Amino acid sequence: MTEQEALNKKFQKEITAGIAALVLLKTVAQGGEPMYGYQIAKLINPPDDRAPIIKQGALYPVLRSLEKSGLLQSKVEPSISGPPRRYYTLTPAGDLTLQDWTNLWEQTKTFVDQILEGASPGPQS
Amino acid sequence: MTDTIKQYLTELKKEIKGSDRAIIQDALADAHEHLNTALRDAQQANPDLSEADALAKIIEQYGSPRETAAAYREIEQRTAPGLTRTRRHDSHPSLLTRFFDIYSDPRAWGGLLFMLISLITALIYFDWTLIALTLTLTFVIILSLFLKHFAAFTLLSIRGLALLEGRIVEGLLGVRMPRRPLLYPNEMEWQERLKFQLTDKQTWKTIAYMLITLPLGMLYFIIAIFLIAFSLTGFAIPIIQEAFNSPTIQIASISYFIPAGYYPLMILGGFLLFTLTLHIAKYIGRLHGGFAKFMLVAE
Repeated sequence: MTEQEALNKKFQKEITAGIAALVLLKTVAQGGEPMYGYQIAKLINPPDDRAPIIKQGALYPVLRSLEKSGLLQSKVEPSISGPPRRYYTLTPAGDLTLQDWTNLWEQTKTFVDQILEGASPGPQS
Repeated sequence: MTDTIKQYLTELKKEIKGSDRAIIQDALADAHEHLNTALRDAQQANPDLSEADALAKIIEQYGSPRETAAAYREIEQRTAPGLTRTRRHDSHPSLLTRFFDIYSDPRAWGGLLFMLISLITALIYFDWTLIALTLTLTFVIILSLFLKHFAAFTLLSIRGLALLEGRIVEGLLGVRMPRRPLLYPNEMEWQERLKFQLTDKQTWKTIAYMLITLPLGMLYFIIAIFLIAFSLTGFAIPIIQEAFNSPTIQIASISYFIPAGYYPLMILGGFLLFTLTLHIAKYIGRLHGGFAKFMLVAE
């Protein structure tokens, strides 16, 4: 790995550390019904994609930590084809958090876009 | 190049080595389930695809063992288990402050609660473990032809109990325990599965834990009840003597009342003993948490 690639990778990691939680909350919310890890991972990174932005393996610990924070809840159900699966749904607190985080993300995105396009970001509220 | 799921799991185990054992168990269980499901999906969609080729693509999506290990470690550092609290930044609290600080320590209350419920849980574990062991042996010896799945199931149920105990230990004692059952190879014939379980050191460690918890649970319960009772005595004696005019000690017709001047001392004594009880509960909780982790979490 060249030095540049290593830098890129580190930057990518720093960005995804924050957005993985938002992406997971939104995906679970959109699903409408309880979903298990593999289903969620597949929705986030369809298998025909090129290298995914967030590796699927990194999604599982985030799912657990979201549950720990009370934003997701889960129940384990037996599956016909293998070990029991953990199905996740959004809690009311998770729903509120998702709205807040979406707003925060919109603000951040606008801010970064403006900087990248060379315009002054203007006063931040 | 990782050609099989087993190989991936071995590499992941190597990469994540040194982390908390419970995290290792979770990470391996997640990878095991995800890779198996993904592989089955891929082979259903394209039956000609070799396992190694399919797996290469799946792992590209899932992340290399190193990446996955890093993800678990990083997130675990951000989220602490169960009843943890951020320590106050009081660099040199006095001994007295530290002694009474115990009232705001959830671990102490968790430990006390654990000591009180441990007798009940231990009875259930002990009974079920004995039943499961007996049933397993019976089925194996006599009925293996008819009830073969049940034989493997009863042993497996002990692992379910181990997971439950792990959740209680993490919740009350704050020791990180696995959140997923211990993985074991699927697609095995029942004889292999039973043999695997019977020869697996973890099965016997779990069984030993379940059996040892009964005397331990009794001990914890007795210690907790005695200490609480003695602490309460300090508060109760003044009330009983004054409100109900009932003597503290009565031998035949001789009634003995403790003089009222000693009441403040008794109440103080009860209060101090209860504070000490919380310290003891926290200490026992920590010891037991370490013991549970050693016995119930696979190496």
